[in-house]
Amino acid sequence: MTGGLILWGVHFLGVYSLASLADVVATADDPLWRAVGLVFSGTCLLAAAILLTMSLKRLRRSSDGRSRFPEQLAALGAGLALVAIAWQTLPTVIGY
Amino acid sequence: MKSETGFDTGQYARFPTPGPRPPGELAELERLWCRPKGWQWITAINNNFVGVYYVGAAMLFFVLAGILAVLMRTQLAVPMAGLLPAETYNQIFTVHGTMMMFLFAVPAVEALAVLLLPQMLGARDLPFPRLSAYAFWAYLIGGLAFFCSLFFGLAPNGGWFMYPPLSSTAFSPGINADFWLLGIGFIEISAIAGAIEIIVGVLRNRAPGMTLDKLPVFAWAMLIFAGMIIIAFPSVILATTLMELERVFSWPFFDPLKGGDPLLWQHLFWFFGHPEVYIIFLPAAGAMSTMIPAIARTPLVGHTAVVLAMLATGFISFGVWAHHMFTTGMPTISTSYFSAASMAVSIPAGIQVFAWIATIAAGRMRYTTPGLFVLGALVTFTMGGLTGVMVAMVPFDWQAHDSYFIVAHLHYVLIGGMVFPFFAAIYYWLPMSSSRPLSERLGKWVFWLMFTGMHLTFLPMHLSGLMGMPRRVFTYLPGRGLELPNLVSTIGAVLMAAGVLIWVIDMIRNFRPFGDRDAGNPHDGPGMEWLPTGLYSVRSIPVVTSLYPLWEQKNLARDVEAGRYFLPDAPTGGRETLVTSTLNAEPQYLQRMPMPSAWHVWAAVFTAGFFLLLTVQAYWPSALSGVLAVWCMMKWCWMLDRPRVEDTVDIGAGIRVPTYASGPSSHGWWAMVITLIVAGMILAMAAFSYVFLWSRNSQDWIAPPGLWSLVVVVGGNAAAVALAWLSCRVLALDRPRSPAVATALMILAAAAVGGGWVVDLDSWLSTGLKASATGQGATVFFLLSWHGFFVAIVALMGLYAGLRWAAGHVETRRPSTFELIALFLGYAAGQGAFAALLTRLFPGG
Repeated sequence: MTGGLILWGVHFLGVYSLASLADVVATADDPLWRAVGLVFSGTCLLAAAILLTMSLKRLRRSSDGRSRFPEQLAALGAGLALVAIAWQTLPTVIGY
Repeated sequence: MKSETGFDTGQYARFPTPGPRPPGELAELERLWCRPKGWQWITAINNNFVGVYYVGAAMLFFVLAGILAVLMRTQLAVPMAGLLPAETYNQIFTVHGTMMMFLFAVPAVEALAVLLLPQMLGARDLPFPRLSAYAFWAYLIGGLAFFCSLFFGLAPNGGWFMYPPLSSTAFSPGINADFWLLGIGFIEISAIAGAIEIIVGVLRNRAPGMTLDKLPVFAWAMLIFAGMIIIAFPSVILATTLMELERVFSWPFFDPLKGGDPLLWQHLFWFFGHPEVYIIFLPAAGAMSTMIPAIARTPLVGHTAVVLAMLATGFISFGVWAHHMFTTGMPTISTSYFSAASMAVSIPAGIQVFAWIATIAAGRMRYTTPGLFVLGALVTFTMGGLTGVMVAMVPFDWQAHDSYFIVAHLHYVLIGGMVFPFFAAIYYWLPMSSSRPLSERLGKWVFWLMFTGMHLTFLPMHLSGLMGMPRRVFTYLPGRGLELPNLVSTIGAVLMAAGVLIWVIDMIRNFRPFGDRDAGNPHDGPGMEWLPTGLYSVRSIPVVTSLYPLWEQKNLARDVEAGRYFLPDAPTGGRETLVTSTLNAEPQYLQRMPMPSAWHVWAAVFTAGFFLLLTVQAYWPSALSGVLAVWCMMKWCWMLDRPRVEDTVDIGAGIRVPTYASGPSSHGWWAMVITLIVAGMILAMAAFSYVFLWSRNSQDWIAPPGLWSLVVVVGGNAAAVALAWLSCRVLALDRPRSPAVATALMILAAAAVGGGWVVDLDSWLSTGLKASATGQGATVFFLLSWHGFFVAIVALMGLYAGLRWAAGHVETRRPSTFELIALFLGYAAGQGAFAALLTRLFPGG
């Protein structure tokens, strides 16, 4: 139900940790570390897309009114995560 | 729908039961849940009393902190005024901010939850009523002591976020800062206790049939709020502990000369501090989403989107803490991540605002006092949100940082996002707890004075901030264009104070709590809190089939009052409530609730005594108070896990449920797991502190002890886990010697955890590392001390297990105590192993 939001949280902590680690080892905006950040962000985006697809499939399958609410929340959350992760990746793309 | 627990939900069709109920049922409920007499008013644990006390205390602190605000504004009305000396002014703004954030905003919404949730969820009370009462008394005593420090010139004076080095002994040599550090740490423990109560209550004490889609939006908000407290507040508990250790023992966590870093404080504080804003806002938003449909007489538009928005706010709020640190020189790309998240968090807030506007537009709004406060909140919060997006942009924040623009922004957000909704909630829900509603005529005066006063006070502050007026100055020079905005702000503050004064008068005139009747449902609210209730909450616990039960379930109030639903009586002869499953709210077992006793009050008094005496450096009396607090808590725990009465009882319509549960289905297990999450968060933040200080000054770090000690520590802790598990297994065997063997194994497990800790401590001492010498020493010895605290608790638990066995309270049919001890012990062992691995393998030798 909260998978998308958890994924967003993991992504945020991941990109922040990578930048912090890069700052200790080289510089926070070092191109190599940014490339690692982009790969990480891409993986998270893919995971969000998979979550969204899965939750939409489940939503379509569920006909019982009672069980739709968690699926609706899951689908909306995964959709939101997809957008939020893309938004949160922009500093890595831009580089500052 | 698939059943979550195996319960046949078709049995709900048996309700409402036909025919009259047996005579005497109601009288028995009234006897069990009777009004306190004499001293029992202090030991009361029923939410109808504790909730009112709690809200009252929060409002007392609001008024006291408001008086301080008026004093500040009077000082700033004209340039170079001499009403308050600089030092007194520093104390006043610190206490004002601290009280509003820690003693009003968070406790007030927790108080509202304690008061409203049982009725909203259809429970007799929240699952741990003594914990609520303990949290209240701890909060009240700690809060009053904190406020009174002003009268002795001992109040903290470093601002509500107490940045080092200003708050270090070099620049704050008195005990003023200690009052803040120990006081706040203590009050946060109370807030966490309340959060545990709320999470378990919302997830496990809902009326049958109240699936997640029928969970009232206020309950959703409180659930997310409490979850956020569990994640965020450990950070400030850790921060205040580290600071106090630095001040008392010179452990250099924040001293850069010895390998510490003041920025560590900012990270720890704001990891708590920014989610705190949403912790305050979300319950108020939940209250808005509950009140607006009733006031506008139409269901909430976009209920699912609103729930998702609240969940999203809860998550994203943990990714914005460093936007308070844009000017500290963090790498640009890092600030960009926080800037992006800070802008993103406005989207879920916006979803809620649009849902409220759409609901108001779709319905027929009534401009009653709560209606006006709701609209005022909407306007004010939106304005604050807009300036929030402005300061989320790094270049703008560089200009506005630490200026009155920020003061204006935060007050718009907090007053619009919490104070106005809270006043709306008071006017809306007070008829539930009082035999008279508040006056509509006076209420409108209160609203307009507060609304006008608020905007007059804070709108000009945007200007004075942009004109360069820094926050936290006790005066300013004439001729810089600051006179007019400051004078207008002061006039606004007086108007606002007049509004609050009229509200106080209204309360004195009309608030009549604890009576036999309430003022009814004047707003035609659709939630279950508007069902007819007594001190036992609802007469019978209904089956919920709608999000708006009073609007859509015909004759619900009549049938509930006639006892035609669940638990119309008291089958075990004591106070009880129904525990239901987490997702689908299927009946699982009957929880036997405690009766009032004084132990939780004494525990709160002695806990407060421990912290306050520590503050004034009376170490021995403090230690004595601490021992007494532990004794009271053990006495309190002794009354839990009582002998079983009947194995199963009839809870209505022939449906039988057990009267005892242990393991993951029990409410006690949930409370323990949440407590351990708090402990885990403190450990995680301590680990962050360790790595952070290494990244700042790694050249002073020495090699860790040899790997042999690591093997012994990890092995000892692993053995402890195995012994604790074995203890529970042996107890489950139900043989004659099972209790004795299980107790012995549990005591051995406790000894193994203690042994691991002793070896770890000894190995570090042998390296020559000093806690007061470097950041490494400080963090390593903090981790050891923190784990030592857990070892002490584990030792107490071992002693407790032994005493329970000696008293004949260890038996196979009652495994709950042992399972919970094993759970705690398992966590403590994991913590010990983790700390040993971290400090030896990172950065390694």
